[in-house]
Amino acid sequence: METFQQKFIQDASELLNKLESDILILESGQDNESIDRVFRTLHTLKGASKMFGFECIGKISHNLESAFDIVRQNPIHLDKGLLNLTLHSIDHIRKVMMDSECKNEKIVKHSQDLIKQIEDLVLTFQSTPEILNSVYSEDIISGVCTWFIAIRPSSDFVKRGVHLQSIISELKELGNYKCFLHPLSGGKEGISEAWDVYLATDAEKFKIEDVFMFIQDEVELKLLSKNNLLIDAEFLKSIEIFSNEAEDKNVQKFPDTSLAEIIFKEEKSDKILENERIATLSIKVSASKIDHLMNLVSEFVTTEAELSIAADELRNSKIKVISEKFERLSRQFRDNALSIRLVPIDTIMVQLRRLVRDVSEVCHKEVEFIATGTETEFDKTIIDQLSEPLIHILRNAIDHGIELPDEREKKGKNRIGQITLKAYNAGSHAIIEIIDDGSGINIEKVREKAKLKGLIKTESDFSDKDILNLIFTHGFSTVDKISEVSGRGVGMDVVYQSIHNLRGELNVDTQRNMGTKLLIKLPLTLSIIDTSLVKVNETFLLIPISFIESCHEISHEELIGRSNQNVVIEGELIPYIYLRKELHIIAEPLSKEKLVVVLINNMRFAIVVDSIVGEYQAVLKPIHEIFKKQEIVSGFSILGDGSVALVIDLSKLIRHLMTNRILNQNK
Amino acid sequence: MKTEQMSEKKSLLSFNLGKEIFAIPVNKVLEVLEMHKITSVPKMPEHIKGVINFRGEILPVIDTRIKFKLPDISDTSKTVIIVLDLINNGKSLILGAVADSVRDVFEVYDQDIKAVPELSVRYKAEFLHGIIKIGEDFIMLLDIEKVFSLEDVDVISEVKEALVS
Repeated sequence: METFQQKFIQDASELLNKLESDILILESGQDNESIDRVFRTLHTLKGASKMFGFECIGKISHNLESAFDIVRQNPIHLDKGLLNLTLHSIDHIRKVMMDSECKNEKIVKHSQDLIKQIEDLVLTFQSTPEILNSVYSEDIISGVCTWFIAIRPSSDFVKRGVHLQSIISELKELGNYKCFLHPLSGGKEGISEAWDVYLATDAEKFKIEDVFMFIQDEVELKLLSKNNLLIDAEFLKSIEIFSNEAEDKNVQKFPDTSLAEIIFKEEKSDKILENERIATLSIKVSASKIDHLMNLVSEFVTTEAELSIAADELRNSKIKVISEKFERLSRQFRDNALSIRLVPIDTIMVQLRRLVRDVSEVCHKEVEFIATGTETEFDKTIIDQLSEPLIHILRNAIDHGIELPDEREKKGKNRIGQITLKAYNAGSHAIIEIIDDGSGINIEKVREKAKLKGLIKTESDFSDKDILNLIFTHGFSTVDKISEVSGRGVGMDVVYQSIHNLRGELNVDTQRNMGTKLLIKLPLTLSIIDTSLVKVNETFLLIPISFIESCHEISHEELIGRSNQNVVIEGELIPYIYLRKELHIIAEPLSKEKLVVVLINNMRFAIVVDSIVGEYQAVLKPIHEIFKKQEIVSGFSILGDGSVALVIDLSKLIRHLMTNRILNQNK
Repeated sequence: MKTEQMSEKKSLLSFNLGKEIFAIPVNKVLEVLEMHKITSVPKMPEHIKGVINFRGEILPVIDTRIKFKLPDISDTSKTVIIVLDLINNGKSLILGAVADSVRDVFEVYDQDIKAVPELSVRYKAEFLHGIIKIGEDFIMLLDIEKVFSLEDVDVISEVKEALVS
């Protein structure tokens, strides 16, 4: 059961994210809508924090709200100082929420300082001579306006102790109002009545919204006119008729013209209330419930495999047909359940934008960050683990990739560097590309460093592509000075590892002085994958299908005949891994063996097996700690007949191959 | 009959390994299984035989003979896998251990568990909680958390990394 505090922290975090996003937008250009959103977010934050006892957050938001109130009327005050201060406050508030008992003295002191700082800023705003005051936004009302408030109570009003009458009577303080109660047919379950209120007031919209704060989901607010209609007899007559005829929320139109037109349709969402509407279209589900669902789906898929095998054995055609139907349903069920866990990458964009901004400042670089395809969805677990490697890649791009503005000018480039993040779907994968137009990776330097470290002896053995992939090895960095930001040689290796833990791929492409492109390929799910089931002696192994390019047959002699553990396939020399050797199988190999050619990280290699059994929808079982460090297997799966199959980890295999090559040439 | 005297009684399961008899607390035993076909996992330390399917989950199986440096004898119809529930690094770890055969479930008082004489036993004293004498037999009480610690695994991979760098 969530305590109120926890709920507040959750809501406040969302508010802070929204605020941060809008501030970043304001940094690239002022617009009144954003200023307005910032103001409203601060207002909501203030109210909520005061209610749940977070005094200092309340005070900080209050002061910032005052500052932005002035900005709303006079945007000239919106400068870098205020924006920085606001971002700083956001960071600080996040820390405060972690220290809800206010035990950390440093944090408490800092809150006080911050409150004073903002206060002082507001004072300077107020003391500067006012330039023309003009109304910038529709929501800044001067003069009496007429509002329409639709209240559609939900069935648990009574349960929640909502006393509608007293809420409505609060409106008295804002101005004149007329209230109508009419029956509702076909409304939400058990609801049989609706309230329509017409309010004439000169108060601002948010003040009206405040009155209905506790029932905001059931209230809709619309501005009818910038005049006081309640003093108009015609209007009063019309609304009497309207309410008598009103039924639910169907299309209604006022009979007259110069007065307001009210149109309510179930589908059409009122722009002002869009946010609240959207909130009710999606539901928050606890992650543990989804995990539980996923476990059930996994067992379902496994059981379906058992059924399939049994159906084959029984040779009963009726059962076979049902079993096949079942298999199709099982696939759909699986895909559907997995899609519940999908979340758009947009959710981490604010964090990334903030990072780009901060790092650019520290490095004195000018960077434009463009993101496209952020609605592309990824599994929630993947997204959670993606932010770290992405942060590191972006840091690198800004620190080492993009040159200083003067340098760029000399090269004939735009002073402002560009970093683009592109996300899109490609078949059974989701792809993220990060492209910068900086100086590119100096392959020669990498080669030098590799020679220095003793990683390569003969230059000719390693192509440019191979050299490029060396940046992913542990301890590698061609940076001469460790900058504040990066350069310890830990980064790219960790990034590679993180991406591979997510069973993804990382490709890098670069061109001197033009830029670098990093491509991250990720599977759509971590727990169930389509695989090819192969057999080596008595052992069953699974290879993820998405990496398989082709399969070939080869005679054992032909394979052994070559000295280098390479084989020629369709004219290309491809290294192979002999699984019998890796699995330490002593038994005699078959005379004819199978080669499964895979493509990963733009590198091709072949896996030698005895036979290819077929396709299998593998449910991956969580891997025990003790197996995490070995080199070939990344997981296990239970086959339909109850036996255990090993899931091959291709990225580990490829590293294994590279390691062997290095070791072999050092002999 | 011995008087109770505030000493605790432990329930133990004893089993054979080679010529020796070992015992472990019953409350750490989840199940005793017949010998299964064990799927071997490549590039693991020798004493880790592989994995089996245990109630739909993957269970690592340890070859206790190798762990205790006993001669490797073939499995018989009596060979079992004892499924243990250990605490490792504060987390629950479930694994299987191969035994030649199970003997008995019995109870001992704490005071009956004697300390291991340093020099006379060829196994590291740190693996044992103590020794119990029942009739003619000496039964060695295992500290299974120590016996089946995961430290071995890390050593192997560190050596490998050192080779490459």
